[in-house]
Amino acid sequence: MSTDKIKIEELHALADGELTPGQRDRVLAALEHDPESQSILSDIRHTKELLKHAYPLKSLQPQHRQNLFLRFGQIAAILLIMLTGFGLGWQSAMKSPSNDESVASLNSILPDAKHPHKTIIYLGHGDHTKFRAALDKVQDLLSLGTGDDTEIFVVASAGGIDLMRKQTSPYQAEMVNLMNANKALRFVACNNTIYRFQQEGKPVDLIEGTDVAPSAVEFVVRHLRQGWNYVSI
Amino acid sequence: MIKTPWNKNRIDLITRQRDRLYRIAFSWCGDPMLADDLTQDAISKAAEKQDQLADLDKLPAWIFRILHNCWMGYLRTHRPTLDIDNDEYVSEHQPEHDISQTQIIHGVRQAIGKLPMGQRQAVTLVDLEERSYAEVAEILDIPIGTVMSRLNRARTALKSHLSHMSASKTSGRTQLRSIK
Repeated sequence: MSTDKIKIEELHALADGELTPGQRDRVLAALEHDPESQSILSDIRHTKELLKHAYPLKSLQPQHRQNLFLRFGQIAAILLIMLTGFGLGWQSAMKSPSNDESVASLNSILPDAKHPHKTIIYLGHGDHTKFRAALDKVQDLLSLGTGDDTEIFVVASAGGIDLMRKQTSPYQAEMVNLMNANKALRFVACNNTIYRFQQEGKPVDLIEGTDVAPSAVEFVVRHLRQGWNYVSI
Repeated sequence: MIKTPWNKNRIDLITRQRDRLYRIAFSWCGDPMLADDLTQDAISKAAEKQDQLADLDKLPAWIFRILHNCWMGYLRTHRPTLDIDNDEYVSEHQPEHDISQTQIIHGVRQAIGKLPMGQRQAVTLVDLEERSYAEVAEILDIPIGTVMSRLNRARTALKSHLSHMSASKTSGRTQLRSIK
Protein backbone atom coordinates (compact mmCIF):
# COMPACT_ATOMS: atom_id res chain seq x y z
CA MET A 1 0.00 0.00 0.00
CA SER A 2 1.35 3.34 -0.99
CA THR A 3 1.18 6.42 1.14
CA ASP A 4 2.30 8.78 -1.63
CA LYS A 5 0.46 12.05 -1.77
CA ILE A 6 -1.94 12.03 -4.67
CA LYS A 7 -1.49 14.86 -7.13
CA ILE A 8 -4.55 16.67 -8.39
CA GLU A 9 -3.55 15.84 -11.97
CA GLU A 10 -3.62 12.17 -11.06
CA LEU A 11 -7.18 12.45 -9.83
CA HIS A 12 -8.25 14.05 -13.07
CA ALA A 13 -6.37 11.42 -15.01
CA LEU A 14 -8.00 8.66 -12.97
CA ALA A 15 -11.44 10.05 -13.65
CA ASP A 16 -10.60 10.37 -17.33
CA GLY A 17 -9.12 6.91 -17.71
CA GLU A 18 -5.70 8.29 -18.51
CA LEU A 19 -3.65 6.34 -15.99
CA THR A 20 -1.66 3.25 -16.78
CA PRO A 21 -2.71 0.13 -14.83
CA GLY A 22 0.23 0.60 -12.50
CA GLN A 23 -0.49 4.23 -11.88
CA ARG A 24 -4.13 3.47 -11.35
CA ASP A 25 -3.42 0.83 -8.73
CA ARG A 26 -1.14 3.18 -6.86
CA VAL A 27 -3.66 6.03 -6.84
CA LEU A 28 -6.51 3.76 -5.83
CA ALA A 29 -4.47 2.41 -2.95
CA ALA A 30 -3.56 5.89 -1.80
CA LEU A 31 -7.17 7.01 -2.06
CA GLU A 32 -8.19 4.52 0.61
CA HIS A 33 -6.54 6.71 3.20
CA ASP A 34 -7.06 10.14 1.69
CA PRO A 35 -10.58 11.51 2.31
CA GLU A 36 -9.66 14.88 0.82
CA SER A 37 -8.65 13.28 -2.47
CA GLN A 38 -11.75 11.14 -2.37
CA SER A 39 -13.82 14.29 -2.12
CA ILE A 40 -11.98 15.95 -4.99
CA LEU A 41 -12.39 12.85 -7.15
CA SER A 42 -16.07 12.80 -6.33
CA ASP A 43 -16.38 16.42 -7.41
CA ILE A 44 -14.58 15.70 -10.67
CA ARG A 45 -16.88 12.82 -11.45
CA HIS A 46 -19.93 14.79 -10.45
CA THR A 47 -18.90 17.60 -12.78
CA LYS A 48 -18.36 15.15 -15.64
CA GLU A 49 -21.81 13.72 -15.08
CA LEU A 50 -23.38 17.16 -15.04
CA LEU A 51 -21.73 18.05 -18.33
CA LYS A 52 -23.00 14.92 -20.02
CA HIS A 53 -26.42 15.60 -18.60
CA ALA A 54 -26.38 19.14 -19.99
CA TYR A 55 -25.19 18.17 -23.46
CA PRO A 56 -26.86 14.88 -24.38
CA LEU A 57 -25.69 13.71 -27.77
CA LYS A 58 -28.94 12.34 -29.05
CA SER A 59 -31.36 15.08 -28.20
CA LEU A 60 -29.38 18.24 -28.85
CA GLN A 61 -29.50 18.60 -32.57
CA PRO A 62 -32.74 16.75 -33.33
CA GLN A 63 -34.56 18.93 -30.83
CA HIS A 64 -32.90 22.00 -32.24
CA ARG A 65 -33.84 21.01 -35.75
CA GLN A 66 -37.34 20.07 -34.77
CA ASN A 67 -37.85 23.48 -33.25
CA LEU A 68 -36.53 25.10 -36.37
CA PHE A 69 -38.79 23.06 -38.51
CA LEU A 70 -41.77 24.07 -36.49
CA ARG A 71 -40.71 27.66 -36.64
CA PHE A 72 -40.08 27.65 -40.35
CA GLY A 73 -42.12 24.61 -41.25
CA GLN A 74 -43.92 26.06 -44.22
CA ILE A 75 -40.79 27.42 -45.81
CA ALA A 76 -38.97 24.16 -45.26
CA ALA A 77 -41.73 22.06 -46.73
CA ILE A 78 -42.08 24.23 -49.83
CA LEU A 79 -38.36 24.27 -50.41
CA LEU A 80 -37.94 20.57 -49.94
CA ILE A 81 -40.67 19.87 -52.46
CA MET A 82 -39.18 22.38 -54.85
CA LEU A 83 -35.64 21.13 -54.50
CA THR A 84 -36.53 17.48 -54.91
CA GLY A 85 -38.62 18.37 -57.95
CA PHE A 86 -35.70 19.44 -60.08
CA GLY A 87 -35.04 17.43 -63.20
CA LEU A 88 -32.38 14.80 -63.03
CA GLY A 89 -29.69 13.66 -65.36
CA TRP A 90 -27.07 15.28 -67.50
CA GLN A 91 -26.53 14.95 -71.18
CA SER A 92 -23.08 16.22 -71.72
CA ALA A 93 -19.77 15.54 -70.14
CA MET A 94 -18.53 18.10 -67.70
CA LYS A 95 -15.42 20.00 -68.50
CA SER A 96 -13.03 21.08 -65.86
CA PRO A 97 -14.71 24.26 -64.74
CA SER A 98 -11.99 26.12 -63.01
CA ASN A 99 -9.11 28.18 -64.20
CA ASP A 100 -9.69 30.64 -61.43
CA GLU A 101 -6.96 30.54 -58.83
CA SER A 102 -9.13 32.48 -56.42
CA VAL A 103 -11.42 29.52 -56.07
CA ALA A 104 -10.22 27.45 -53.19
CA SER A 105 -10.96 24.02 -54.52
CA LEU A 106 -13.24 21.85 -56.53
CA ASN A 107 -13.90 18.35 -55.40
CA SER A 108 -15.67 15.68 -57.28
CA ILE A 109 -16.88 14.02 -54.15
CA LEU A 110 -18.26 10.83 -55.52
CA PRO A 111 -16.29 8.61 -57.85
CA ASP A 112 -19.28 7.63 -59.92
CA ALA A 113 -21.29 10.81 -59.63
CA LYS A 114 -24.84 10.25 -60.68
CA HIS A 115 -25.09 13.90 -61.62
CA PRO A 116 -21.60 14.93 -62.61
CA HIS A 117 -22.72 18.33 -63.86
CA LYS A 118 -24.78 19.34 -60.92
CA THR A 119 -22.78 21.58 -58.67
CA ILE A 120 -23.10 23.11 -55.26
CA ILE A 121 -20.98 26.17 -54.63
CA TYR A 122 -20.68 26.74 -50.91
CA LEU A 123 -19.91 30.15 -49.49
CA GLY A 124 -19.28 30.47 -45.76
CA HIS A 125 -17.43 33.76 -45.41
CA GLY A 126 -18.45 37.37 -45.81
CA ASP A 127 -15.49 38.29 -47.93
CA HIS A 128 -16.30 40.32 -51.05
CA THR A 129 -13.40 38.75 -52.88
CA LYS A 130 -15.01 35.38 -52.27
CA PHE A 131 -18.37 36.73 -53.39
CA ARG A 132 -16.77 37.75 -56.67
CA ALA A 133 -15.07 34.36 -56.94
CA ALA A 134 -18.37 32.57 -56.38
CA LEU A 135 -20.11 34.53 -59.13
CA ASP A 136 -17.16 34.02 -61.46
CA LYS A 137 -17.43 30.32 -60.76
CA VAL A 138 -21.12 30.43 -61.59
CA GLN A 139 -20.35 32.10 -64.89
CA ASP A 140 -17.63 29.59 -65.53
CA LEU A 141 -19.96 26.66 -64.98
CA LEU A 142 -22.80 28.19 -66.95
CA SER A 143 -20.50 28.76 -69.89
CA LEU A 144 -20.00 25.02 -70.11
CA GLY A 145 -23.58 24.48 -71.09
CA THR A 146 -27.04 25.45 -70.03
CA GLY A 147 -29.09 22.47 -71.03
CA ASP A 148 -32.16 21.33 -69.18
CA ASP A 149 -30.00 19.17 -66.97
CA THR A 150 -27.75 21.89 -65.67
CA GLU A 151 -28.17 22.79 -62.01
CA ILE A 152 -26.02 25.08 -59.95
CA PHE A 153 -26.81 25.94 -56.37
CA VAL A 154 -24.91 28.67 -54.59
CA VAL A 155 -25.43 27.81 -50.94
CA ALA A 156 -24.50 30.33 -48.26
CA SER A 157 -24.32 30.19 -44.51
CA ALA A 158 -22.57 32.23 -41.83
CA GLY A 159 -20.91 35.32 -43.33
CA GLY A 160 -21.49 34.06 -46.84
CA ILE A 161 -25.14 34.95 -46.56
CA ASP A 162 -24.19 38.60 -46.96
CA LEU A 163 -23.95 37.91 -50.69
CA MET A 164 -27.68 37.30 -50.69
CA ARG A 165 -28.77 40.10 -48.36
CA LYS A 166 -30.05 43.24 -50.02
CA GLN A 167 -28.46 45.21 -47.20
CA THR A 168 -24.97 43.92 -47.90
CA SER A 169 -24.66 42.36 -51.33
CA PRO A 170 -22.54 44.32 -53.75
CA TYR A 171 -23.75 42.16 -56.63
CA GLN A 172 -27.52 42.29 -56.33
CA ALA A 173 -28.23 43.37 -59.91
CA GLU A 174 -25.81 40.85 -61.34
CA MET A 175 -27.35 38.03 -59.33
CA VAL A 176 -30.88 38.92 -60.39
CA ASN A 177 -29.79 39.05 -64.01
CA LEU A 178 -28.06 35.69 -63.69
CA MET A 179 -31.11 34.06 -62.14
CA ASN A 180 -33.44 35.54 -64.74
CA ALA A 181 -31.24 34.33 -67.56
CA ASN A 182 -30.52 30.88 -66.16
CA LYS A 183 -33.19 28.67 -64.68
CA ALA A 184 -30.41 26.28 -63.75
CA LEU A 185 -29.06 28.68 -61.17
CA ARG A 186 -30.34 29.01 -57.63
CA PHE A 187 -29.06 30.99 -54.71
CA VAL A 188 -29.86 29.29 -51.42
CA ALA A 189 -29.52 30.86 -47.99
CA CYS A 190 -29.29 28.91 -44.73
CA ASN A 191 -32.29 29.54 -42.54
CA ASN A 192 -30.31 28.83 -39.39
CA THR A 193 -27.99 31.67 -40.26
CA ILE A 194 -30.91 33.94 -41.09
CA TYR A 195 -32.42 33.22 -37.70
CA ARG A 196 -29.13 33.87 -35.96
CA PHE A 197 -28.62 37.13 -37.81
CA GLN A 198 -32.09 38.23 -36.79
CA GLN A 199 -31.37 37.31 -33.18
CA GLU A 200 -28.29 39.49 -33.40
CA GLY A 201 -30.35 42.37 -34.72
CA LYS A 202 -29.10 42.11 -38.29
CA PRO A 203 -31.97 42.46 -40.76
CA VAL A 204 -32.05 39.83 -43.48
CA ASP A 205 -33.89 40.90 -46.60
CA LEU A 206 -32.92 38.41 -49.26
CA ILE A 207 -32.46 39.34 -52.88
CA GLU A 208 -35.53 38.48 -54.86
CA GLY A 209 -35.41 34.92 -56.13
CA THR A 210 -33.15 33.65 -53.38
CA ASP A 211 -34.28 30.40 -51.83
CA VAL A 212 -34.00 29.36 -48.23
CA ALA A 213 -32.95 25.94 -46.98
CA PRO A 214 -33.68 24.99 -43.38
CA SER A 215 -30.06 24.06 -42.79
CA ALA A 216 -27.05 24.44 -45.05
CA VAL A 217 -25.57 21.39 -43.37
CA GLU A 218 -28.33 19.07 -44.35
CA PHE A 219 -28.77 20.67 -47.75
CA VAL A 220 -25.16 20.28 -48.79
CA VAL A 221 -24.75 16.82 -47.32
CA ARG A 222 -27.91 15.59 -48.99
CA HIS A 223 -26.79 16.79 -52.40
CA LEU A 224 -23.30 15.42 -51.99
CA ARG A 225 -24.80 12.06 -51.26
CA GLN A 226 -26.90 12.35 -54.39
CA GLY A 227 -23.78 12.73 -56.48
CA TRP A 228 -23.44 16.46 -56.90
CA ASN A 229 -20.11 18.16 -57.35
CA TYR A 230 -18.96 20.50 -54.66
CA VAL A 231 -17.05 23.75 -54.80
CA SER A 232 -16.02 25.60 -51.68
CA ILE A 233 -15.16 29.24 -52.12
CA MET B 1 -9.37 21.69 -60.60
CA ILE B 2 -11.13 18.43 -60.00
CA LYS B 3 -9.45 16.32 -57.38
CA THR B 4 -9.38 12.61 -57.00
CA PRO B 5 -12.90 11.33 -56.41
CA TRP B 6 -13.78 10.49 -52.87
CA ASN B 7 -14.95 7.22 -51.52
CA LYS B 8 -18.61 7.40 -50.61
CA ASN B 9 -17.87 5.49 -47.42
CA ARG B 10 -15.72 8.37 -46.33
CA ILE B 11 -18.52 10.81 -47.00
CA ASP B 12 -20.70 8.74 -44.74
CA LEU B 13 -18.02 8.60 -42.07
CA ILE B 14 -17.66 12.37 -42.18
CA THR B 15 -21.34 13.11 -42.10
CA ARG B 16 -21.90 10.64 -39.28
CA GLN B 17 -19.81 12.94 -37.09
CA ARG B 18 -22.34 15.72 -37.54
CA ASP B 19 -24.21 15.30 -34.26
CA ARG B 20 -20.98 15.04 -32.31
CA LEU B 21 -19.54 18.07 -34.04
CA TYR B 22 -22.70 19.98 -33.36
CA ARG B 23 -22.70 19.09 -29.67
CA ILE B 24 -19.13 20.26 -29.21
CA ALA B 25 -19.69 23.37 -31.31
CA PHE B 26 -22.74 24.19 -29.26
CA SER B 27 -20.85 23.70 -26.01
CA TRP B 28 -18.17 26.07 -27.26
CA CYS B 29 -20.32 28.86 -28.67
CA GLY B 30 -23.59 28.41 -26.76
CA ASP B 31 -25.62 29.35 -29.82
CA PRO B 32 -27.52 26.62 -31.66
CA MET B 33 -27.59 28.51 -34.93
CA LEU B 34 -23.93 29.39 -34.86
CA ALA B 35 -23.15 25.80 -33.86
CA ASP B 36 -24.98 24.65 -36.95
CA ASP B 37 -22.95 27.01 -39.12
CA LEU B 38 -19.72 25.85 -37.55
CA THR B 39 -20.71 22.23 -38.06
CA GLN B 40 -21.44 22.92 -41.70
CA ASP B 41 -18.16 24.70 -42.11
CA ALA B 42 -16.23 21.84 -40.51
CA ILE B 43 -17.92 19.22 -42.67
CA SER B 44 -17.25 21.26 -45.78
CA LYS B 45 -13.61 21.72 -44.94
CA ALA B 46 -13.28 18.06 -44.08
CA ALA B 47 -14.53 17.28 -47.56
CA GLU B 48 -12.01 19.66 -49.06
CA LYS B 49 -9.14 18.23 -47.05
CA GLN B 50 -9.98 14.61 -47.62
CA ASP B 51 -6.48 13.77 -48.76
CA GLN B 52 -4.99 14.88 -45.46
CA LEU B 53 -6.60 12.03 -43.55
CA ALA B 54 -4.46 8.98 -44.10
CA ASP B 55 -5.60 7.00 -41.08
CA LEU B 56 -9.34 6.64 -40.62
CA ASP B 57 -8.84 5.80 -36.97
CA LYS B 58 -7.82 9.40 -36.51
CA LEU B 59 -10.98 10.76 -38.08
CA PRO B 60 -12.56 12.02 -34.82
CA ALA B 61 -9.48 13.96 -33.70
CA TRP B 62 -8.90 15.20 -37.24
CA ILE B 63 -12.39 16.52 -37.73
CA PHE B 64 -12.53 18.10 -34.27
CA ARG B 65 -9.29 19.84 -35.13
CA ILE B 66 -11.03 21.23 -38.20
CA LEU B 67 -13.97 22.33 -36.06
CA HIS B 68 -11.56 24.01 -33.67
CA ASN B 69 -9.98 25.90 -36.56
CA CYS B 70 -13.42 26.97 -37.79
CA TRP B 71 -14.28 28.22 -34.32
CA MET B 72 -11.01 30.09 -33.99
CA GLY B 73 -11.59 31.62 -37.41
CA TYR B 74 -15.02 32.77 -36.35
CA LEU B 75 -13.68 34.29 -33.15
CA ARG B 76 -10.92 36.08 -35.00
CA THR B 77 -13.49 37.60 -37.30
CA HIS B 78 -16.06 38.51 -34.71
CA ARG B 79 -13.96 39.01 -31.60
CA PRO B 80 -10.54 40.14 -32.73
CA THR B 81 -9.29 40.88 -29.21
CA LEU B 82 -10.20 37.52 -27.76
CA ASP B 83 -7.63 35.98 -25.48
CA ILE B 84 -8.09 32.27 -25.71
CA ASP B 85 -6.74 31.59 -22.24
CA ASN B 86 -8.13 34.51 -20.32
CA ASP B 87 -11.37 35.43 -21.90
CA GLU B 88 -14.26 35.29 -19.49
CA TYR B 89 -17.77 35.12 -20.79
CA VAL B 90 -20.05 37.28 -18.74
CA SER B 91 -23.48 35.97 -18.01
CA GLU B 92 -26.42 38.21 -17.49
CA HIS B 93 -27.87 35.81 -14.96
CA GLN B 94 -26.87 35.20 -11.41
CA PRO B 95 -26.33 31.64 -10.21
CA GLU B 96 -29.17 32.01 -7.77
CA HIS B 97 -31.53 32.12 -10.70
CA ASP B 98 -30.56 28.67 -11.85
CA ILE B 99 -31.03 26.51 -8.83
CA SER B 100 -34.34 24.97 -9.70
CA GLN B 101 -34.48 21.39 -10.81
CA THR B 102 -35.83 22.35 -14.19
CA GLN B 103 -32.92 24.70 -14.92
CA ILE B 104 -30.02 22.41 -14.16
CA ILE B 105 -29.15 22.01 -17.81
CA HIS B 106 -29.21 25.73 -18.39
CA GLY B 107 -27.14 26.23 -15.27
CA VAL B 108 -24.45 23.86 -16.46
CA ARG B 109 -24.37 25.45 -19.88
CA GLN B 110 -24.16 28.84 -18.27
CA ALA B 111 -21.23 27.67 -16.17
CA ILE B 112 -19.52 26.30 -19.26
CA GLY B 113 -20.09 29.64 -20.96
CA LYS B 114 -18.29 31.41 -18.15
CA LEU B 115 -15.10 29.42 -18.65
CA PRO B 116 -12.22 30.88 -20.62
CA MET B 117 -12.36 29.44 -24.12
CA GLY B 118 -9.30 27.25 -23.82
CA GLN B 119 -10.63 25.62 -20.67
CA ARG B 120 -14.06 25.24 -22.19
CA GLN B 121 -12.68 23.44 -25.20
CA ALA B 122 -10.51 21.11 -23.16
CA VAL B 123 -13.18 20.09 -20.69
CA THR B 124 -15.86 19.53 -23.31
CA LEU B 125 -13.62 17.45 -25.53
CA VAL B 126 -12.61 15.27 -22.60
CA ASP B 127 -15.92 15.02 -20.79
CA LEU B 128 -18.38 15.00 -23.68
CA GLU B 129 -16.34 13.43 -26.44
CA GLU B 130 -14.15 11.35 -24.15
CA ARG B 131 -11.12 12.28 -26.20
CA SER B 132 -7.80 11.35 -24.68
CA TYR B 133 -5.46 14.02 -23.40
CA ALA B 134 -3.15 13.33 -26.34
CA GLU B 135 -5.97 13.77 -28.81
CA VAL B 136 -7.12 17.00 -27.19
CA ALA B 137 -3.56 18.28 -27.33
CA GLU B 138 -3.49 17.50 -31.03
CA ILE B 139 -6.91 19.02 -31.69
CA LEU B 140 -6.15 22.25 -29.88
CA ASP B 141 -2.47 22.28 -30.84
CA ILE B 142 -1.24 22.62 -27.29
CA PRO B 143 1.01 20.51 -25.04
CA ILE B 144 -0.56 17.70 -23.02
CA GLY B 145 0.50 19.49 -19.86
CA THR B 146 -1.56 22.48 -20.92
CA VAL B 147 -4.53 20.21 -21.52
CA MET B 148 -4.20 18.88 -17.99
CA SER B 149 -3.84 22.30 -16.41
CA ARG B 150 -6.81 23.64 -18.35
CA LEU B 151 -8.86 20.66 -17.25
CA ASN B 152 -7.94 21.24 -13.64
CA ARG B 153 -8.80 24.92 -13.80
CA ALA B 154 -11.99 24.30 -15.74
CA ARG B 155 -13.28 21.72 -13.31
CA THR B 156 -12.34 23.83 -10.33
CA ALA B 157 -14.25 26.75 -11.81
CA LEU B 158 -17.20 24.55 -12.72
CA LYS B 159 -17.32 23.17 -9.22
CA SER B 160 -17.50 26.70 -7.91
CA HIS B 161 -20.18 27.72 -10.37
CA LEU B 162 -22.22 24.59 -9.82
CA SER B 163 -21.88 24.15 -6.09
CA HIS B 164 -25.25 25.78 -5.48
CA MET B 165 -26.75 23.45 -8.01
CA SER B 166 -25.37 20.35 -6.34
CA ALA B 167 -26.81 21.38 -3.02
CA SER B 168 -30.17 22.09 -4.55
CA LYS B 169 -30.22 19.02 -6.70
CA THR B 170 -29.10 16.36 -4.33
CA SER B 171 -29.23 17.90 -0.87
CA GLY B 172 -25.70 16.68 -0.51
CA ARG B 173 -22.69 15.87 -2.61
CA THR B 174 -22.49 12.77 -4.68
CA GLN B 175 -20.88 10.12 -2.60
CA LEU B 176 -17.67 8.45 -3.68
CA ARG B 177 -18.51 5.32 -5.54
CA SER B 178 -16.54 2.17 -5.43
CA ILE B 179 -13.61 2.61 -7.75
CA LYS B 180 -11.96 -0.73 -7.30
